Amino acid sequence: MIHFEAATKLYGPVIGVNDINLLLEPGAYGLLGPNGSGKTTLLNLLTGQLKPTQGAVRLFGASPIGQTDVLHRIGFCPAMDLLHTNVTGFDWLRYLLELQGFARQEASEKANQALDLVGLDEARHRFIGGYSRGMKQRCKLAQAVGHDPELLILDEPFTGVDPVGRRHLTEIFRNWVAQGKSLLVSSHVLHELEAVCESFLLICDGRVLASGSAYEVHSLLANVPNQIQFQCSQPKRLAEMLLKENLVDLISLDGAQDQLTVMTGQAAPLYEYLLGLPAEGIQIREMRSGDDSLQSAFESLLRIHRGEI
Amino acid sequence: MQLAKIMAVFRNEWKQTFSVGRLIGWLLVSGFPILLVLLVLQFGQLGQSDTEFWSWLLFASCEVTCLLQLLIWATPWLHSELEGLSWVYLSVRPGGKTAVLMGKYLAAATRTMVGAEFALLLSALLIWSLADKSEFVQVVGSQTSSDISPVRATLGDDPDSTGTQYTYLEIVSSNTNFKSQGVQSSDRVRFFSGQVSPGYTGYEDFTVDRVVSGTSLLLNTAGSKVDVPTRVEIHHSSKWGFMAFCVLAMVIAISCFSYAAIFIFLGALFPKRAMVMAVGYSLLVEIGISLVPAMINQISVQFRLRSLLLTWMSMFGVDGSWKPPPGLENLLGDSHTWLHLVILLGLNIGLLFVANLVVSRRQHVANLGG
Repeated sequence: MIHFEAATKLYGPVIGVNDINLLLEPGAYGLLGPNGSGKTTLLNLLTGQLKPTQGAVRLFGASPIGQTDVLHRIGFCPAMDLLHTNVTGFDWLRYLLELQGFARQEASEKANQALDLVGLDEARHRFIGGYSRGMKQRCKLAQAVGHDPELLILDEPFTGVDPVGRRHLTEIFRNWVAQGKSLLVSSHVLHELEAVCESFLLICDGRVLASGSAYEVHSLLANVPNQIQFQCSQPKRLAEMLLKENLVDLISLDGAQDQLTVMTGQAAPLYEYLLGLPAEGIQIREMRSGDDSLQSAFESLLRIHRGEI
Repeated sequence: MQLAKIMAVFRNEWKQTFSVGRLIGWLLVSGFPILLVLLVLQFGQLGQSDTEFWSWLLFASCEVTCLLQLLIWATPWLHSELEGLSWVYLSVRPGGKTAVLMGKYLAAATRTMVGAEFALLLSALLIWSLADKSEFVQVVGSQTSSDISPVRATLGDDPDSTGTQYTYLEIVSSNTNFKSQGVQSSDRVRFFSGQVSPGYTGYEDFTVDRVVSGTSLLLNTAGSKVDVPTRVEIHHSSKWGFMAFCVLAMVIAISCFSYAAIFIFLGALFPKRAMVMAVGYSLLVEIGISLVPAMINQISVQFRLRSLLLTWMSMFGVDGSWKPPPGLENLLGDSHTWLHLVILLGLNIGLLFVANLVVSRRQHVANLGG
């Protein structure tokens, strides 16, 4: 379905994506990477917005640039904000569906269906300028699914969406995949995609660093140096136990705050060890991981990729 | 299919015209010719017979209106989509880029045309209703046919036939230039032959068959007896005003589509500097070079439009074969109408084709994000 053949995209001296080789069969894929990693460039190459400087990109067996057959089969929801103000959600969608090739009447019907699907049925005749950020995101999603494409390409679809909206979007994506359709979603937050995607691509500095299932990605990320913060009942004792088990590389204790900060290269065994702490009488009230932003993990992966670790 | 998409863009663009701000801008720019006509009517001493003046005034002011409106509507067609981050939604549609280009071209051209034609119509109505209605040009000092005087009228024959018919009358004037007075075929010539009763002078009307030269007219008398005139008046045909309006309307329509194609092209080529390029082009080529009395002015659309205007109005017509007046040969083309039209049509098609090529091949990504 998606085939990158040594695809490189340069913006002058800046590398957007670097020598990407990728072959994806129909399915649901999550594209993970920190900000500026090349996710959007990769998606723009895929939708024909950009031409690769070197190599080739194929979608459904053809170059996506100007190929009407290919463009009929994809729906794209970009990351950028929707700045339209003086047009209603319905009118905007109907216009885009007419551009997709539907007659006006049919475009109207499909616009209504798409707005119903994303939960904007009540707000369809309101100006987009009056929508909340989450509503705009859903409106953007509606224009991508309106023509019922085979492959849905979404760039950071959860940005600005509240928890209820996220759950709703996740449900939409799940149903989409359940219908046997394909999905490629980019995000910089892993857990956003876990409920939707079966496979993940990890991209950083324009390179695909790793790929695999959710478990494989978790294992991979768990074992790169990671900073974890605990708020617990006996931080000093916990520090001693972790050092004794040789599970941490660096440790920092803030007794006044009952806070313990550790740096570990083997987060997975550490998490498993932590499961047994209640039996030892240690209560962990809060735990924060650098995994919130994948930046540090990706930097580590990149160092591994370069052979520096 | 592609036509339906173009019409969707066209409809969407027109719909956006009806926002309050855009409507106000549209009316303000369209009001420029009307304002000029009102000022001239208020402060000038001009009648409806000053046909050349009104024609040029309306042509020039409507052209300014067209250029200004197209600068606003056509030039930033791509930049506005890129700035508004909406290009991406349009360009991922099959044939979307071409549909947007063509739809916006048609919308900009027709929107401008409606504004300019509306301004022309209102201006013409003002001229017809408010300007001095004495629709005649009086030839001064008419005398008998044998006099050596400012005007001489000689009964003669049809120059295209043999034999003696005395069906044509040639009026020769030494002090009046019929051409510059705007006399043309189908104008009415009134011969005053003396007082019939106190306070009332008898006259006879003839029709101008052709303008032989600046000082000579040929009238068709249809073989009737002609009294020696003591005074001659020439009246413009009352249909002239409407014809002038029609010709101006046609030229303005052509102008809208031609300039729209140019500005759409510039907008596609230089999306970020489209306005600067379009203003520069207008000043340099359409105002500067078009008025240079040399062959180079033929590259401008203005040259073609002026030539079409004058040809169609037959302002300087002799027997239908139009020639530019002396001294203006290089400012006005003497080519056939169809040649001007073909060149303008070719320009439209060529520019839109190249613009489409540029837009289809160029990568326009507003935000690279992650």
